Amino acid sequence: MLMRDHTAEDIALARAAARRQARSRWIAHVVIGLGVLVFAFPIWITLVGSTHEVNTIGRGEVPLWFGGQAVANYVSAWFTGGAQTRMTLGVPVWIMLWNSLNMAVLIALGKIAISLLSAYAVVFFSFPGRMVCFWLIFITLMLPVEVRIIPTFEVMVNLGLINSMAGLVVPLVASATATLLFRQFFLTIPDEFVEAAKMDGAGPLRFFKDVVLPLSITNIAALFVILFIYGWNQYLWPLLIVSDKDLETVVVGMTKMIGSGDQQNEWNIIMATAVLAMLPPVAVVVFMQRWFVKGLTETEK
Amino acid sequence: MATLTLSAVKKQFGATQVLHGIDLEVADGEMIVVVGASGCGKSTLLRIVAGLESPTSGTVRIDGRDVTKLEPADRDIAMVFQNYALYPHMSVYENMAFGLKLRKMPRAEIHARIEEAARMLSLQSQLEKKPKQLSGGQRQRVALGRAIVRHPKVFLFDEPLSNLDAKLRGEMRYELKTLQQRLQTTMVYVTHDQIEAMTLGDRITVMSHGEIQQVAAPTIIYDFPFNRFVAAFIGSPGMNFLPGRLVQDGDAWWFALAGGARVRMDMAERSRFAEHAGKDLVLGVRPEHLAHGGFVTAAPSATTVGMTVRVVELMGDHQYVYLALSGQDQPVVMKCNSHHRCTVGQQIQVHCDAAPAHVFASTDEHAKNITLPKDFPQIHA
Repeated sequence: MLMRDHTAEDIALARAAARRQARSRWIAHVVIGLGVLVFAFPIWITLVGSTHEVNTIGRGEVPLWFGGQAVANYVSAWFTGGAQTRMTLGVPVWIMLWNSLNMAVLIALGKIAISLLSAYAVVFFSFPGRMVCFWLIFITLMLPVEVRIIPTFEVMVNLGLINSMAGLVVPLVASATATLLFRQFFLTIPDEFVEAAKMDGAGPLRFFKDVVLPLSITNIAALFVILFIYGWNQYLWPLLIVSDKDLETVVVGMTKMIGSGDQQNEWNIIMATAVLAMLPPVAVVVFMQRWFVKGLTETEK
Repeated sequence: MATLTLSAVKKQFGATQVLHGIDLEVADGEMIVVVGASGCGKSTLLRIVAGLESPTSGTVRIDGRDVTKLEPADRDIAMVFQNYALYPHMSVYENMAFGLKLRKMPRAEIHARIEEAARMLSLQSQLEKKPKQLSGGQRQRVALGRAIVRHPKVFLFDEPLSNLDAKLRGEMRYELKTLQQRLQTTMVYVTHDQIEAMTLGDRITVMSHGEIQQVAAPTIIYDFPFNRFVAAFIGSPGMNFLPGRLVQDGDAWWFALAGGARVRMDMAERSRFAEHAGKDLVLGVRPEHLAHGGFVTAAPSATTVGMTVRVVELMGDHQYVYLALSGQDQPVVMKCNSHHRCTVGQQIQVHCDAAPAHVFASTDEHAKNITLPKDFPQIHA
């Protein structure tokens, strides 16, 4: 084949292509930069606001750079809930965080345990009414907490679970979504594993513990992240069921810090609380990110 | 060390009858291969022996003990699955140990058994690896090892080689054979591959439509197929089936092919010819019993038929020649030495060796072979 030198036309075409590529790269960066700005700016405002003294924000200023009150604000929020000016509330943030943590972990673990077992039953056992059970679980997907909140509240009242951790957790602990996800995952476990386990003499619980559970570990981790954040962000239910200050969760407690307008709000303390409330979910996501991605993308078979 | 006896095993899934009363006796230390097309019920049969399915009726006995109602784990059997079914989160060692641990076997004994199996299967260096890190052949060996460490009375194999490539399958066939000679354990091996059946089985069971067609040693199955199904299933390329009729001409019997040509039937067993004369029958001839009988200009004889070359497949020392015969839709396959030069479109005389050929009693797919020796046993040999 004859080799041909680059003609002027070829060179011009190559340059045009390079320019086009550079331009599209540049556009992509601008778009992603704008996206980051939109998401990060409110958090930045909060972070900065939590380091100023109460009057700065009270005057209507929105500072864009840190003030000098960081330590004082966070100490105040952590230990007293910022009750220097308003003696009405004042639940220390550490108690609220502790309550939120308990609630979120219990909801996440409870949901995982219950949905693992119910999905296991639906997939690996054939019993009369199996599909009915599955569809009943599935249908509850369409009924969020808000829809059934009044009957649920009454049940909790009758059980005497108002103002208790159990009352916070139990109504939220069954999860149709997680059951569905585990069911879909279990369906991908080959029948031959079940049969091999039968030949090995493993009973149903042994098979669950030694085969199904280890295979589901990445899925469990991924779900834990999602469910932890779901539990952490619960607002309506804790607001209804808990009136005891000692059981206040941080998401609800924070909104209660915002007064009705007859007094000045301690925005600096509220913002410090918001920053503190963000940290545990962020920590869970950062810590479990590797597992999270693995659980959503990888199947170990 | 055990015998396996199936008596009148039937299985129904809803309205579908999958097994129509299977009787099978497997001797101690024998390797029996159950072969058939997919959907013939061979896997169901194996799963009934394993205890993964329960038969609708009939009994399964191992060493005389009725195990029909027992759990798989209580039957003293081990099974090797098609997809290996190795637990992906356990190492090779743990995979092999799992069943033994559940049996509460002492650690030292488990260890000794795994070491022994690993040595037998050259897996010593793989014991700490996860199944994912192994090749297909190695995984298959681990699956074998998991069965071996159990020291079962009966081994069950469910198409264990069908996930391997052709070369590896050949190697594993050899390993399985040596393993069987060494272990001397009763084995039931299910496959759809007639080559595996021929090479591995002490006896072959050919199944079709939930019924046993024939049980016999490989050579007997090959040379004396009980019916047309068995004849078609065993052998590759398969037997040629030529429709036609039997006609008597003086002392001699002839097979008049649909296209008009005739072949003299010189086979030993001709006693049943008279009762089938004039009916629509099928002549079965294996490719190796056809031979190049010279070009069409050669004088046709009592045993030659003129055909046209359509396709030639060279295999090295021999070749398969696909021939067109008038009055016959399917090509006729002839196996002959590669030095016979055949070109496409050429007309040749094909010599048909009638002595090892068979005549089937009708055009039905399961038609009986009427040229078997008089004293030939029914189905089970």
